[in-house]
Amino acid sequence: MASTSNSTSSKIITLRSSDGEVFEVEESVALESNLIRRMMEDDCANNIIPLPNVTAPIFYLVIEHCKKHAEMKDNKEKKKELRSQGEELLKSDPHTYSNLMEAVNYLDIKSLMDLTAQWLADFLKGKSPRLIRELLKIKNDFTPEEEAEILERNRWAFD
Amino acid sequence: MAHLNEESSPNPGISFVDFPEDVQLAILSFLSPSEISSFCLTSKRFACYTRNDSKLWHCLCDRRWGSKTQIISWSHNGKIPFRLLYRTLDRLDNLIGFWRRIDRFGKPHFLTADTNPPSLLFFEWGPSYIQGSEIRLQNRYGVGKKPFLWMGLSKQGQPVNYLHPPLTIPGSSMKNEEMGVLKIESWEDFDLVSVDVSFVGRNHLVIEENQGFARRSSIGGEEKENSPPKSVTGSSPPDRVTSDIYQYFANRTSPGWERAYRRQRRKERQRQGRRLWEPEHYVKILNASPTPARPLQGLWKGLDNNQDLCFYIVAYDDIGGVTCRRVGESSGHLSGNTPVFWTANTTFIEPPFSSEERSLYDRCRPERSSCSLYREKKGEVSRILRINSSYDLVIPSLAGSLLGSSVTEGRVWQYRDGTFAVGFLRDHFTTDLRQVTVNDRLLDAD
Repeated sequence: MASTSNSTSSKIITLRSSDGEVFEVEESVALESNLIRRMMEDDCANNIIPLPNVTAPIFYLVIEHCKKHAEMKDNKEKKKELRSQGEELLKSDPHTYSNLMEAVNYLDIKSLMDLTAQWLADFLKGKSPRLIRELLKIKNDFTPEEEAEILERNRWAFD
Repeated sequence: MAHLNEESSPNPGISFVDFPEDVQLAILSFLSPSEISSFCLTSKRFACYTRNDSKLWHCLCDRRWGSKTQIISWSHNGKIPFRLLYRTLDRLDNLIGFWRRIDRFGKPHFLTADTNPPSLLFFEWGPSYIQGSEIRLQNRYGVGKKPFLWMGLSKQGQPVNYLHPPLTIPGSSMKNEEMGVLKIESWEDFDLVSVDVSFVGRNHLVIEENQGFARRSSIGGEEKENSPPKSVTGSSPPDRVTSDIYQYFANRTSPGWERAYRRQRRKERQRQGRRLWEPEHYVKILNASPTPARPLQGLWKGLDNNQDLCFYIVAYDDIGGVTCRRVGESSGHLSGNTPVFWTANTTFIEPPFSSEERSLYDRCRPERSSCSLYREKKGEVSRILRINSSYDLVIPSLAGSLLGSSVTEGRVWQYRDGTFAVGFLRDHFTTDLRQVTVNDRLLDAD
């Protein structure tokens, strides 16, 4: 694997997920992650970089979206496509979404953070407080009186 | 990969409270005000959070306007609560774009072009204020942008608006370059006029001179509402604020005599009750750019019969008609809005064009007739629209039987590059129209 890091064109970085799988990633993609960037600056990167908080399936997802994000830069169509993928994921597999979000946060990838955050925000659009509670596992700790009061107060917030 | 779904229950949900704060903020920052309202109704904790958390409102401001302006400067380094700032910017955001002046009925037009209030305003984000500029046409399709109105916030979060009056006292006006770098704190220092800018609905605004004097009324007055109790100690609030301001200026290193002189003269002017700005009304130009479905829509510029450059607005109505009006600077009793053409049928004539259409084009466009309708060229006509002149609307007495259809009939020739020309059969006079703005950016601006 080290033998691939030769010419100037694309250096390959080797990473290992928490469940022991080894990934070879182009440097340009790997450097999207500020965590990996910092590790390489600190010169911990001569060998395999361990990622103890990210499992292989999630890391696949991260890499895939990093590549897509790089491709779509000025492509409005692709951007739309990427935005709509969030809804599918959130509907079919919210658990994976949570893991992806945590991995993106851990790896500190700004572009993906914005993307995945927007996915969830888009998903919450137009939903009632009750539905949001359900989706986000938020416990309702209002008494009925408090809830009525805050509803009234909030109605005027943006008039 | 299979183990991924192992622990998924039928409705697994996302445990929002377990996300780190940064992640929560990132997600919430994408929500609109009404969605934030829904969110805060989910629990006591988030109700409190959305009401009080300045970090959240800072994030919301940054997400929405951070790429256009400097949120931290608007907030005077956090002195203005971000929630209040969000609400203010939300209101001001509607200004961005083009506005045209409307004349109230019967208002005499004795002013010359130089002293006329701007007929077309363009609002855009500055670093810590919104700047309104007068848009003027110059020769050769060029557009001049002259900064004219500045809208910012005082440290107490109150609107502070100043404009550069069209009619200035000789020797007192400032250079455009000076205006570009002005800090809010120094606006009142120059010979600017303090104004109130108020909305009448979303798309109509009124700019009025603030006649009760600017500094005292607009900065002093707000103290009552917004400042924490501690500031009401000692002397009366307005004096305290004013002295703060003088203190501020005293600490600055630039020479002060000129400023003092200006200030003095303005005071005199105010004592005389002289107005430098009459109330003016502006309406927003919605849809300033064409869309695929409405290819002619928007704000355009072109030469009129007198070879003067004019602005044109083409608007589509809800029932499929199109109207074009000339707006702007032309003097005389028709200044404001002169109808140019209209049509109720927006179906384009597509190529191949008939020989009549070709010869009509050649007659109306002798300078262009060498490039026929068919030549593969940038200037090639891509389609044609039949239109009616608004001649008869302007001069109703002529609208009788004297006029056949050939007098009012005309064409729009749309070119491949999206621009178009308007011509009429009666005089073969044609106008080439070009777009003024693309994505809220001025084209051909100097």
